[in-house]
Amino acid sequence: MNEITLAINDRQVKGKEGDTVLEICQANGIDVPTLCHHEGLSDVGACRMCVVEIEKERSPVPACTYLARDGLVVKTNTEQLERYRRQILELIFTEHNHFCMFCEQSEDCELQKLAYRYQMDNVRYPYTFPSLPVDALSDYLVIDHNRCILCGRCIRACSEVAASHTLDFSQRGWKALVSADLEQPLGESSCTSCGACVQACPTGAIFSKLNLYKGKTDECQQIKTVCPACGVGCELNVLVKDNNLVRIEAPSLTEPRGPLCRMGRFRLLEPTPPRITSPLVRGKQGELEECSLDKAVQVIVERLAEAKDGFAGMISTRVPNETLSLFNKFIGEVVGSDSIDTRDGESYRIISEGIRLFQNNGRGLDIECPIEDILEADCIIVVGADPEKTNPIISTLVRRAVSQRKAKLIVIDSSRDVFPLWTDLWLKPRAGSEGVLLNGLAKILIDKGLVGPGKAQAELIQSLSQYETGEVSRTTGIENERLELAAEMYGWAEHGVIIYGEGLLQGNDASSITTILNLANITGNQVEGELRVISLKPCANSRGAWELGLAKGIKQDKPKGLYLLLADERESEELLSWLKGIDFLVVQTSYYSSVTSLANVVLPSPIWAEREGKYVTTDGRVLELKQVLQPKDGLPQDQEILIEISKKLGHRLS
Amino acid sequence: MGAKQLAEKVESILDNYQRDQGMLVSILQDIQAEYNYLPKEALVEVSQTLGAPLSRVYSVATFFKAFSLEPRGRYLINVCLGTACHVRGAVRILETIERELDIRPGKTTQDLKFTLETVNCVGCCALGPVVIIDGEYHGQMKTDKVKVLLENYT
Ligand code: SF4
Ligand code: SF4
Ligand code: SF4
Ligand code: FES
Ligand code: FES
Repeated sequence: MNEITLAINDRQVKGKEGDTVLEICQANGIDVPTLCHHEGLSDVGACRMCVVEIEKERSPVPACTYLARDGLVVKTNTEQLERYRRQILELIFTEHNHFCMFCEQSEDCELQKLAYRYQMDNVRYPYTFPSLPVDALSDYLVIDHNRCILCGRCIRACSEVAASHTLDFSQRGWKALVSADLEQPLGESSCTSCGACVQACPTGAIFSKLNLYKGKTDECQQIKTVCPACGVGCELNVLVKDNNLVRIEAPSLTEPRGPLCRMGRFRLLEPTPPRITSPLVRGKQGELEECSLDKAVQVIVERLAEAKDGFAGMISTRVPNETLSLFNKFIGEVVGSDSIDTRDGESYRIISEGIRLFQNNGRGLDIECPIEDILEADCIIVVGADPEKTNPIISTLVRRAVSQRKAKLIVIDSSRDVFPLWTDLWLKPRAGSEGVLLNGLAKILIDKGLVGPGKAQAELIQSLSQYETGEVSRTTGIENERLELAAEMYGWAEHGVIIYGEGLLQGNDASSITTILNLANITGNQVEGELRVISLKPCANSRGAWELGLAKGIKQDKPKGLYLLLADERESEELLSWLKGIDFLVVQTSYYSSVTSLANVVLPSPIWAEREGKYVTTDGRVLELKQVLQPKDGLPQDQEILIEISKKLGHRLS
Repeated sequence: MGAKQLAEKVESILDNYQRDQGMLVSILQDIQAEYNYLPKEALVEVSQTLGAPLSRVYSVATFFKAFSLEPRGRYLINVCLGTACHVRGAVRILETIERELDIRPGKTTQDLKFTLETVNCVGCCALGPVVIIDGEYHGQMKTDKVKVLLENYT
């Protein structure tokens, strides 16, 4: 890029060709007020707050859309411009209802701040605003059209960042509205409740019910941490006031792991089940009774002294590496058991077996590519995964690739099309025949010569010989043509990414995973030893736990005793039924649940916001989880309890 | 109108424009010409076939006054509510028509005969209050003339 020099307010400043005047001003600390501009979104020049004077231009121009040139002479702060800006503000205030005392966003509103800045103590024009509807039917969001200044930031966030394209203007003139799909309530539209629009909106027109009346930005402490809700590992900016969560924002809307989804932005703020605030042991009457930590530890120690064999450990992968390592030692050295697993250990064993069958050279999860690869894709296959449900940002990245790069999207799912508005081809195999389908695709690719030179080795060709297209079509119930179409879409792609998840893992079929890796390998979708394959792992720190070796597996069908460190993971039906019949159950958890009512001893555990440590994302990045809240009632950290028990048993853990 | 027929009709209109997103306005015009309004199902069909977000299609469909999202009547009634007509009782005329047809402005009668709209000044203030039906101007309207006037249209 060529460097250019321009004069702004009589100062020489530098910028790059292609920058807007606004960008150069901001880079040089020259303040220009804006409203419809938002960092990272495209500019439309709608509000005219950012007007500047440019020599040889007849009238003021919006700095946000004006491209800078070498030698431009710019003024940003003349008296006339300031008058003009104040006038615009006054007009905005007449067009909709901006009586701030009834607005939740008052004090956190860009429009209000500008009004103060321009000392807008009166409005010289008549108020002409209509009375507009409020949409409060969505679970998390409210749109109050009366506060809207029609800047379009939400619309651009929804299409450019969320790639949901739910919002657009409808009608025009004084009737103009931001509306969802066919002017439907948000809750009934294609909206995914990601909240990008909430963060983008400068006023009180779009806000979240979960943030209401909890506190203003200026009163809050802001702490950056990692989202504990899934393995993508988005960065969170958490706003805290008086040791309470006020709001969660994306530090940047534009980073691939930036925009956040409903789980990271909203669901973490939802009310939780009641917290465990003290250790509990089962008394003589069979009721759980509060007791001191000493007493609870005593009960556990006695039991362990009595009979250690048949004792196992299980841990949630929502906890950071430090806790995992310590737990590993605790079960191995202190309890003396090699029966240890993570809640999601089964998934690990299937994935790693799939990788082992693919190439027996000791490679592990590091064979997968970073999730940013999705943004470069021109063809994406989603198989046995529902990213919108489990990892919504993955689904955002897929939609971005489809809408911004015209990537082809193939969904392989036996029950539903998981991207109904976006899929180019939905293959619906009979349940359980996914593996056959994938092998069938591999065979078509080889038969059609859509493979890289030397990629299809004799051994593979041999093993695929039983997957004749006609046969595959009969088994899966998918017509030949569709199979061939899918193979061609993927085979011709320059950058094909395959995403798989839960659905495939539950099928307990490691060979399907091997086939996926083969597909990527033979088509040359590979960079520096990484295949363009992404597995969606169940929890925020699944990969961390698996790589630390905790997913060994419980040796017994039903252990006699179990130490379950569930932390703030919620109970599940499948866990409950497995726990039934275990003789002695210790549960370390944050919440009362059906699991605690099965336990002999219950120990408290901090929630995500109260702990700290390292997380490993689904694609192997190591991130730092920060403590944002002081533990409730001064409760101990998970590690402190483990160390305490070990001490009583004569072990020093650290 | 069957869903299938509608889908086929819309497809054929889309084909006339090679399913080009850039021709959205013309496509909507043709659909409007076909049905006299833009059925919601047609907008959904257009969005899916063109791969254009539904919100965009809706945005364009509501931007131009020439498009209507509701079925239109055979006759369009425009009641002028401009200042001159207003002071001469246009509101009462409007109310009488509303009562007579049992619809509000912007709406269409059940039998698809009339659509009622209001305008602000049509430039013949001397004639006010003015009611325009299907392009015909009726000046100096009175409430008791409304019924007879409407009966002229069959
Ligand atoms: S949107 Fe801003 S300016 Fe408008 S009422 Fe709310 S706080 Fe005031
Ligand atoms: S919450 Fe997300 S998907 Fe829904 S309207 Fe806002 S930006 Fe669009
Ligand atoms: S809702 Fe907010 S972001 Fe969207 S146009 Fe209105 S003021 Fe702008
Ligand atoms: S910020 Fe430039 S026109 Fe709105
Ligand atoms: S006010 Fe009715 S025609 Fe002018």
